[in-house]
Amino acid sequence: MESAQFSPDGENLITCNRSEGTARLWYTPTFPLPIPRWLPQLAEAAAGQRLDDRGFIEIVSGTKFLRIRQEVAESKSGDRLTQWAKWFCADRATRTISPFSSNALSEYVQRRIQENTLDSLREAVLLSPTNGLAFALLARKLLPGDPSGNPREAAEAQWLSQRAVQQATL
Amino acid sequence: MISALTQRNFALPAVEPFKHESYVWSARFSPDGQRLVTCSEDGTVRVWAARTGQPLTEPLRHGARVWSAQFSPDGQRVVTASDDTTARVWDADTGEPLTDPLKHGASVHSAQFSPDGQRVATACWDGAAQVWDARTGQPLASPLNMEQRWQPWSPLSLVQMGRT
Repeated sequence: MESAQFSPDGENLITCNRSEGTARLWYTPTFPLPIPRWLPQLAEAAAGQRLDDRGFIEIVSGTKFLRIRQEVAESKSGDRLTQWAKWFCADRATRTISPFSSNALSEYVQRRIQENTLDSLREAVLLSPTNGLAFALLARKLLPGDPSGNPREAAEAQWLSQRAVQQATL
Repeated sequence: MISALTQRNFALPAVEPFKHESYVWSARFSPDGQRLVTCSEDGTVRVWAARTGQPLTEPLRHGARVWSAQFSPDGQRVVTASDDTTARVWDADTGEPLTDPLKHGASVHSAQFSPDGQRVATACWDGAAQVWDARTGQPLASPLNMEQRWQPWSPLSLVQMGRT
């Protein structure tokens, strides 16, 4: 990384990386404390488990998640955390790349796939973990000529291509 | 089994990447956070809208790699430092140069406005630092010379530009 700077309001971070011909703007939000009670409930429901009063893991039902998601979607509250939660719960196929962005995720991922570099494909896979094409292209990028030369990359390529096949058959 | 998801920390992108033809050496916000200025190995400087990622002017062109680009405190101008041995002051809205090139004897590595925006300080690879009138582009004093062996990546850190 060559340089990094926060925006004056702290909401974004600009970075530039020597190896790429790009500067990148990242979403680095801060939220006012204390957090509302629904936030840990959303986190527990999304994870599907919670710690009970005695510290034991308890399963949180999928219907609880669906109910909280419904409440978030219907909430009229315009505060930033609610806006974030609406984004978090929204359909990945149609939502934006980050809560206060106007860029559509699907188009953004398509462009990262078209760039077809190691970094751009890694980003596509992270943003769109059900995109079989991104997994397949990243696997091909990582495949070394001689698998014994870099076993770590060979193993990762194998795992990525399995993911690609899984996505293709869904 | 190695998971791609554990490879590195990941922040959410806010907009599309800001693209140059080659390495980007610096990217800085305007004082109001609405715009960004980037400079590159490709010899250009670009001013962007931070919210949309769109360029706001034509590229500002130097003759060689640009090391540094920064807004003035009022956000209306940009000062850049380049391997073409000059620093330049530009209108941030139009992308037009506002003064003649601020000439040094070697690569200029860093350039910065004073807090009141009236002056510019530059730092050169040959060890010289210079203060200029930001409006006329004329040098305001004789160069401040550092020892040659001193690494001049950022001599400006030694030049305290207070309001006088």
